[in-house]
Amino acid sequence: MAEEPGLLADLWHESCKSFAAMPRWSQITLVIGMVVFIAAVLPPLDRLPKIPLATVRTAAFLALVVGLIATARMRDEFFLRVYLHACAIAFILSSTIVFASLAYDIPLGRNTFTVLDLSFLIGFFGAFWWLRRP
Amino acid sequence: MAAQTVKNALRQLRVLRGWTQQELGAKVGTSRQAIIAIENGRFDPSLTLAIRLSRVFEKPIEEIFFLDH
Repeated sequence: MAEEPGLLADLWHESCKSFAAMPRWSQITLVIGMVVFIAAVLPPLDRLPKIPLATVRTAAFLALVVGLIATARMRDEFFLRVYLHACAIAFILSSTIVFASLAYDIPLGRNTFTVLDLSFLIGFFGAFWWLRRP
Repeated sequence: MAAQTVKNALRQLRVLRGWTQQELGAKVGTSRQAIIAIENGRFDPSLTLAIRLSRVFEKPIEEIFFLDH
């Protein structure tokens, strides 16, 4: 008797529930972080001088991360495990890729950030799928 | 000593009562995904959740969760 509404629909539904259950301060932090982070890569904010722009982007990214951690804490044991698995997968995957890039002398440069975040996303979706599959 | 895994009778007990995974999740304050994962043996619940399940099913914990010999 597996009631299967689909992976993405499930993830969206649970994320909304998780957001609704968060304390007000963390909801505001998450939304501000997301809005400012997107705004800081678009005109006119992206024309700011380098140091202020970098500061705005870093602060927005930090707010986004703090908000995401708050959503993880709000959810039940299932989601805590999804986050745990995602962190483990992200560490293994990204450290292997970064190490291989050093070993092969391929400079990743700013793409290191993409590798880290993409590894976490892959880990998150992978863990979510694996833990709930029939 | 060989490693023992924890099995459970969650699915049988739930079906016996005619509850959906969503309904059982709501009764014990957890998500439907958590119920799916526990029923499929993907992870063992915390002691808190196990006690809540035990209360909902009105059965001792060891009748719901047991070691696989």
